Amino acid sequence: MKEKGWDTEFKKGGIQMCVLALLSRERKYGFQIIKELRSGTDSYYDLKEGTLYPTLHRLKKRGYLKSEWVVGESAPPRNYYSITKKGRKALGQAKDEWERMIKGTAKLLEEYK
Amino acid sequence: MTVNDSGKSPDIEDYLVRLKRKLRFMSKRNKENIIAEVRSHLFESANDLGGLEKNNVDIAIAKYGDPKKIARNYKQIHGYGKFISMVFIFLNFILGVFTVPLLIPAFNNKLSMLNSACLIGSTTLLILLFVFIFFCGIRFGKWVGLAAGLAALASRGLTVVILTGALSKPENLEVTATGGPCFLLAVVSFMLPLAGFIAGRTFVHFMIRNGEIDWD
Repeated sequence: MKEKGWDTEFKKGGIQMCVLALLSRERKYGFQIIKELRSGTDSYYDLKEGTLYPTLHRLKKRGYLKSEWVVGESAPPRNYYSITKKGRKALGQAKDEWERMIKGTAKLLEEYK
Repeated sequence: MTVNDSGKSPDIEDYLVRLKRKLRFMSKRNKENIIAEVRSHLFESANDLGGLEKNNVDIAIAKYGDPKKIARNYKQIHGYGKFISMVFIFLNFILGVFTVPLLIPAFNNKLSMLNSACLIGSTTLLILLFVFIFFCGIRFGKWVGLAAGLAALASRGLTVVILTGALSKPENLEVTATGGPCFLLAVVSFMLPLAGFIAGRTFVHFMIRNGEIDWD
């Protein structure tokens, strides 16, 4: 049986980086982010939808994202999120850290195979 | 199709009412933003499943998650509204009064039993005050924690001044409630706002980085 806990720990750190990466090219709204997170990671980040929004709010509170409401014609207004300058910097640092972690961990795992 | 005249789904609105109830004590602005965002999401999600039929809305709501858990997450990030924060700051002000050994000056060196009881009582309340200020910092954030501590500091200071009649006789301040110098009383009092601020800062810092995420 698969031990629960490992994936949660890995995902917790990864999701914020993935959200920043998703928003690094263009602004997106919550539902769009959830769908792209799911499709772009082969459903690895298949989170309960309601918990993504607090993650977005956390990133916004840290100054990594900003948001604006866009009123549509046939649907309720959408809250679009976009990355800030501080968010881009954080994404760059997170990527570097991620690569170092993958490289270091792979090296050790290879040694103890 | 279960959509009312205003184009809203009653099931979505019902879910939003439940969520709004769980978001109580948060600021109106934050609450409205959250509700509008959830409404938008459920609308998109149900439409993605084929439209606003009851079945699709039910699935969208189930995928969104438990309102209680979601509200808890939001409260950790945004804290509570101004009114409730003010109430808690005021409660700290009131509690602060009773943390000064009130009766002792009147009976100084006369009723040692009563003196001891007052000292134990006020010390217990002082510990409670610290816990309460920690709670305010953690629940409402560092600034409310700081304000709660400052309110307690002010009320303790005022109590000492009134109690010793220092307004008319400043030299009375030299004789504190315990008959000793004011130094300890002052040091403890100045630790109160610091405690609230540090509790809030540490907790919010931790929660922002370690927020709960539910996985399917």
